[in-house]
Amino acid sequence: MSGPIEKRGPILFFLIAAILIAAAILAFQATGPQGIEERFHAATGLSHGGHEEEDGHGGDGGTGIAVEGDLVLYAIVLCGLALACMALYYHYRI
Amino acid sequence: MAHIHLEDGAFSLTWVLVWWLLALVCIGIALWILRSKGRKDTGRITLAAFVTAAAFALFQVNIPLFGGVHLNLTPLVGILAGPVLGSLVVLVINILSAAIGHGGWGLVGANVLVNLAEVLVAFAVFRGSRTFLPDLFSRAGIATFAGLFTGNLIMIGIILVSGVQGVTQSPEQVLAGLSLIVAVNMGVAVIEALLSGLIVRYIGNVRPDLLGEQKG
Repeated sequence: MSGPIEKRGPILFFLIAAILIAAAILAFQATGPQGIEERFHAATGLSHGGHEEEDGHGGDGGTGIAVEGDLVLYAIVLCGLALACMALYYHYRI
Repeated sequence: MAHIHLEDGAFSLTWVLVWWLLALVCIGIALWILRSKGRKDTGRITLAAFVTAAAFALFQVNIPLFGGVHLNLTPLVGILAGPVLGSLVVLVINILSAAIGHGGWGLVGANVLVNLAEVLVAFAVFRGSRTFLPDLFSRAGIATFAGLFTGNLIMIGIILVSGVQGVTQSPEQVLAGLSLIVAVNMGVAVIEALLSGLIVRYIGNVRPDLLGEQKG
């Protein structure tokens, strides 16, 4: 009695999987072999390596600073987040 | 999977702040729910810690399929940790990922929203389809498909609404390009669904209480 109900899940799962794989193969043929970031750059119209290469002064998003690729800024932001976590940890006695 | 792989500076400062603010509101709601519960579910917190570590590690592994993609495990996070702890898990994963250069700091807010959608939808589908799909493997797999598809839609929505600075492509062209990314992502979602299905079925066999299931 429970046979068809038990089979319903796997049938639906593999049907969806087959459709998705077919769609992915078609999309892959359209885009060609690209990495994750290359594919995003192509989709959004950014030149590879970011638009910072075009304007020559880094992509700062209007903030005046460019965090991407700056190890010191990454370290500062990470330390800030770690300190904030410690403060919350002690404040709420987690 | 659904994750905005753009650098800092791709979105304007206004949109960076908008997505961060929305993400913080969601995290704030999750924290409020956790605190209002009073009693801490230590088992669930431990599970959330494990899935955070697993998902973060898997986030960084580039799978050489369709040119290169990575898995998220966010639907599995939703199924195992639930939507409340799951929202904290995706925040931690995205902050740690940004810390090692996987996605910009400014995009953490947007990426938290994308991953949060995956967590919420996967959890809802997994719990909601219990009577329709009694088999744990396929239920977790289909919940993973639903979660990742929703995450991809949110990703497209965020990019289209924000716009990308310094490009001349029309929104229609960007939508066409992003649709191809979604199609490729959903192909890889099959691997993630298989993986999630197998993990959930195994957990269902040994510890069904972790899934809120009755044994037998």
